[in-house]
Amino acid sequence: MFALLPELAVLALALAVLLGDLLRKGRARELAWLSVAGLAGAFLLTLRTTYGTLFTETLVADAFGVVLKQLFLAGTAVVILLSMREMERFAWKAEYLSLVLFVCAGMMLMVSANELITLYVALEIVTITLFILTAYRKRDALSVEAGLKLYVQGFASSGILLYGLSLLYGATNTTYLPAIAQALARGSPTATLLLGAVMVLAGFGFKLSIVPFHMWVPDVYQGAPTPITAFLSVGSKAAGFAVAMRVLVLALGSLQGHLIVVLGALAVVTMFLGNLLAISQNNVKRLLAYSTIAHVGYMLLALVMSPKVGAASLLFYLAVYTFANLLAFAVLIALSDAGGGEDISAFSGLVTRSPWLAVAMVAALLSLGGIPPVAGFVGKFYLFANAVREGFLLLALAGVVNTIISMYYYLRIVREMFIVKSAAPAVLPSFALKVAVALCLAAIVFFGLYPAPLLRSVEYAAALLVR
Amino acid sequence: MTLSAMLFLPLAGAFVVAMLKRERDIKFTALAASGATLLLALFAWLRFVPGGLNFEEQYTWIPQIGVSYHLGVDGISLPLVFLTALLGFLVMLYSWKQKERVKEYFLYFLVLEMGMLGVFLALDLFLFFIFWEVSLVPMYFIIGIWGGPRKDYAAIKFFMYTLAGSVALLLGIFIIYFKASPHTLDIPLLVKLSPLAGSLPLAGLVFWLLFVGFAVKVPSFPFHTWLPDAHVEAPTGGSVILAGVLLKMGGYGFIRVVLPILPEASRQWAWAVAILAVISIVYGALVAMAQSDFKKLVAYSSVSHMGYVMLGVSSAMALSSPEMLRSGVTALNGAVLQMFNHGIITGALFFLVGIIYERTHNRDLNKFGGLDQKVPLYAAVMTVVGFAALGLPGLNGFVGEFLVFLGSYGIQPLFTAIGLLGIIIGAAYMLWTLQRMLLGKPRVEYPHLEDMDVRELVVLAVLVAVMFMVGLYPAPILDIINSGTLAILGG
Repeated sequence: MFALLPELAVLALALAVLLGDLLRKGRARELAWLSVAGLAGAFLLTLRTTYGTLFTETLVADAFGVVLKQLFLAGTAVVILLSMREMERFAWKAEYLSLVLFVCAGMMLMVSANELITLYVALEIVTITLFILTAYRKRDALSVEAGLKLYVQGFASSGILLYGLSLLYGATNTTYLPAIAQALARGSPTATLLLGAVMVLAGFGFKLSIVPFHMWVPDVYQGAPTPITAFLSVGSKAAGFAVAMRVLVLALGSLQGHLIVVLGALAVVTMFLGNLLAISQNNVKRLLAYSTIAHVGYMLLALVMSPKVGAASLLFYLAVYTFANLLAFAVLIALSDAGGGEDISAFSGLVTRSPWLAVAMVAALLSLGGIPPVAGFVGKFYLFANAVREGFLLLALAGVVNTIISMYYYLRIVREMFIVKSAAPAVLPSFALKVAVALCLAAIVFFGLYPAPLLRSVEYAAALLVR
Repeated sequence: MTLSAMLFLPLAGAFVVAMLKRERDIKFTALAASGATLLLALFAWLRFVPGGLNFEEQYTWIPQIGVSYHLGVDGISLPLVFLTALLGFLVMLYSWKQKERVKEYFLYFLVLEMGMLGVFLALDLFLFFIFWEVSLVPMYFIIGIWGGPRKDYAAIKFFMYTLAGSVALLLGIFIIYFKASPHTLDIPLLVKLSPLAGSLPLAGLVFWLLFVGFAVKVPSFPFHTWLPDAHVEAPTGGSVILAGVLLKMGGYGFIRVVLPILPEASRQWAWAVAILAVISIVYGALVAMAQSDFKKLVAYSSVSHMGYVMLGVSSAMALSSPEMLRSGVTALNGAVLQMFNHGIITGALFFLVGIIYERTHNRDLNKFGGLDQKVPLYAAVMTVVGFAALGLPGLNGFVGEFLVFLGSYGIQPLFTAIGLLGIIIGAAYMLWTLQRMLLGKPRVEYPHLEDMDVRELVVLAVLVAVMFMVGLYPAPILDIINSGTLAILGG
């Protein structure tokens, strides 16, 4: 039970926020700070996790899950900090906060799931709640359209995933992931099993926005409230990858020989398409949507590698990507909160208007592009180096070539901030936003200059995961 | 600690600059930080003991991937470290009159100085690569913000070109890393382990990956096209640092990384490097001759002069028998000295371009003339620097080129003979430039030209003094360089 304390804490927090909203109206701001404090508390609880399995082995508490849970808790706290202005502006009730917290709890359960049905239920908690959050700007047609798009593709992909999972069950007679791995190790894979694996892959493909299942991403990212876009681009991606790691790489590990070519090809296509399409975007939310697709492509490399190396690379990359992407969104939100809009031109002359935001944005973009000394460089270094180590020289080559392409459009924003002059007024971000920016900036600078502690914990988690 | 202090002083200066408001304070801080760095570099020079690494520092940093914070200088890096600190300081001094976006200007130059020093001081490939990339961003800003009319294009071209080179470099580093056992990125250790010995096809691949990374920076033909654009658009200080120091990072990479870690592949491919070097020399010189834009001319002359460096490096690469060792060491000594000299001379040339452009807003050589009557001091300095650039004995340019050709002749006589053409063409375009600018009738367009002020004179006097010192008595600097090249070529 103690292993589940962080999840329970987040759930309790969500309910407390709902209740608080019911008892005292118009206290959304205080409740938001309460949520941030509660998430910090849950973060502390994760430090004391006892490893093991729970509820007849349906849930597993391991170091791999803990690292991800910590990432979700930090990410969710940042998302709430970023939402405060938006909540004030549209007079959203605290119910919004509790939905965000439910997503967080769902993601934490997702990465703990040790069994297919539990996994599916956790996944649906996240997916369904995200439909609501995406369409939360109720009077904004784009937001509603985004919600609907997410809804349609979400259920379609859930259906495909569920069908794949049922085929896996049919072929192995068990829904437990370790048992599936054992069953597969005994014999050569059947056609049913392979079909199941491919359907599961396609299902994850939608959730993770792997090309060619990525069509929904730009519209949904553009339409959703920006904090939720940030949430989608980091939290649900991280959770999706963690589950993909557990199912595709660990449970179906013996199929890796069959899936490796498919995964490798998908990785290359995803990174190229994401980066090439990002070049011509003028809306920064759409640009970051395509950039997210490209990063998904990089992270797919981790699924091709041997499980231990792949898990460590994935965890590290996810951690630094999360903070860098949240930081980029934070600056974007600061600008659009100030009425600048969401186009690249909103960034004009930012270095004179608000130097710290400009510096933060440059750090975020350099990190996303993999330029030192910020953390993104170490993430890419570790990921691509491991790809070379595992013998995937061409995949690593594709990765580094894409790094070059991506810098081109990240530099477009840098150019707008530093080179283009603008008479627009200074940007005055809210206190909550400043906290979020400071947190993310500190994270990517710290992990960039001193990645040793994080590397140690992801390598430890990966070593325990694969035994 | 000396080296760490030297490395982080500019960064500390940058932090202080970021906090300051008054322009005067900012300029003083920048000057003080780079001045202190220069003093430390001078201190390191005086305390340097030839033979082996000096002032070595090593701390565990990222043990999981075998990376340590490892600094040190030897005879190859020391002259370049000094060059960086010297030009860094002189640029701050020259930029005293900077008016537009002062704080950012000095901040970027200070960060840039740290990046460049880091490249020359780092003895770990990870650290080396970090500084390599760190120097990229401030230079992008310097060209992009204070550049000329096509600054956008030039800045992004500079950035993308170098980035493309550096990812090739990164892939090469990965392969070296995983071939080494234990996995390490420590340069001295890698030299000892020689991880790719005996696997020639793979070593060849790594060689070419590293080649692309470093050759873009040098720049060697055919990767040189970013250079003229970057130089023409960059502000004076940017051009000085770009030509004076950044290009040396490429040449230094060949000597520090490629030559000692991949000796077999280097020997195998030396001929290709030599051919590209000779093309750079002759082609760069010919294109320089065709320019009427003074800045573009200096830019292309850099391609040609860095070709000498590459010729010297290729001769050291081609070294196959112990009898040739003397020649190889001479060629490599020449290459390192040529890098130092080129930094001094081209730095001075770009300062001179900047000084005259500030007064006339013109860089077209055909629209000058008779400057010797209008601005005699300027003309005198220009003449000395021009002669140093064309390799007149007694000035520093001659010594480096002479050693490169002397050494290379013993190893690859044919390429050396073709390369010598560069000297002739170089003399031709330099003399023609001096003639077009300084001689003839004064132009009516500029009736009231002011000669150099004290600040500008100090900047150039320092550089001219170094030209004479190295030109007349090169022994001290050559002793230092020689200790480094001997260690690398195993003499």
